[in-house]
Amino acid sequence: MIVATGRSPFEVTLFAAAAVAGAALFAAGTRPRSVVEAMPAIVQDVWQVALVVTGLVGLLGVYWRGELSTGLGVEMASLAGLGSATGMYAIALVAVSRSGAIAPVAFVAAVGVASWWRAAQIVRDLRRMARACSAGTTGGSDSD
Amino acid sequence: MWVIAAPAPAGGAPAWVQVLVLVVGALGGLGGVGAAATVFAQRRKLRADAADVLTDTALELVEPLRARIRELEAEVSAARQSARTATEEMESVQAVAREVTATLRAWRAAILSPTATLDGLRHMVAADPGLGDLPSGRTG
Repeated sequence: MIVATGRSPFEVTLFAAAAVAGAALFAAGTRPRSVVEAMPAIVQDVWQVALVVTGLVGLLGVYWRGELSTGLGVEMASLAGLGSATGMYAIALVAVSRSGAIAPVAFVAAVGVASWWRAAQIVRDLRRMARACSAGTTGGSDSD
Repeated sequence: MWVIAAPAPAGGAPAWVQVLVLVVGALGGLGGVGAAATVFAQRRKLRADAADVLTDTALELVEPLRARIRELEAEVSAARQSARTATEEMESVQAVAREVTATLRAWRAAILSPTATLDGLRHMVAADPGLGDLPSGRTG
């Protein structure tokens, strides 16, 4: 049985970038204009915390040394958070900057889509693992 | 005159944008928490034998080794077969050598016997069935 790993350059870099960007925003005491304009204050706080937390927890999940399914679960939860945070940011960018932010919106939205995509992949892998475990074998025949 | 752009007030975007952002955030947050809770609750069910679950990275490393093992297994099988054939041939040759030695000893004893006669020896050699088994046709 084969499970796709999250240790790809894209995923690791994006988790690290989320954590670094969130921490840098905290350190600088500033926020993107689109976020300030499009989100209520409390949501801005949650969004910024979510960036840092999903980045760090995502890296933790990707490099999890214990049970494989636990690592995948941690990674998936972080991906859901990162997908939401980037989705929120993309919506804010579109709402505030309109066509002036086509390139940033494209990249930010791509990160969101990729996060949900990967989360769905993990759900699929976990389902297959659960099936294989209840069948009593994880060997070979499971081709998907 | 200078026109100074005032910083946009918080919540300056339309209300539906804020609602959309909230909905996306809530969906993701709930989804993440729900997923983590599900995995945590089903940990025992998911406890796969780690040796049987390979990540695709590991598989990439393992695949060339698997191919090499298959090659070596085929080579070992061929070598075993050839060793078995060689052993069988050697045993057969040893058996023939033993037989020939025994025949030569018997002839030598007969030739050196004080009562040996040419006719008797001819008789004995012609009647000896042992040489009939020899592979070469040079016995005639």
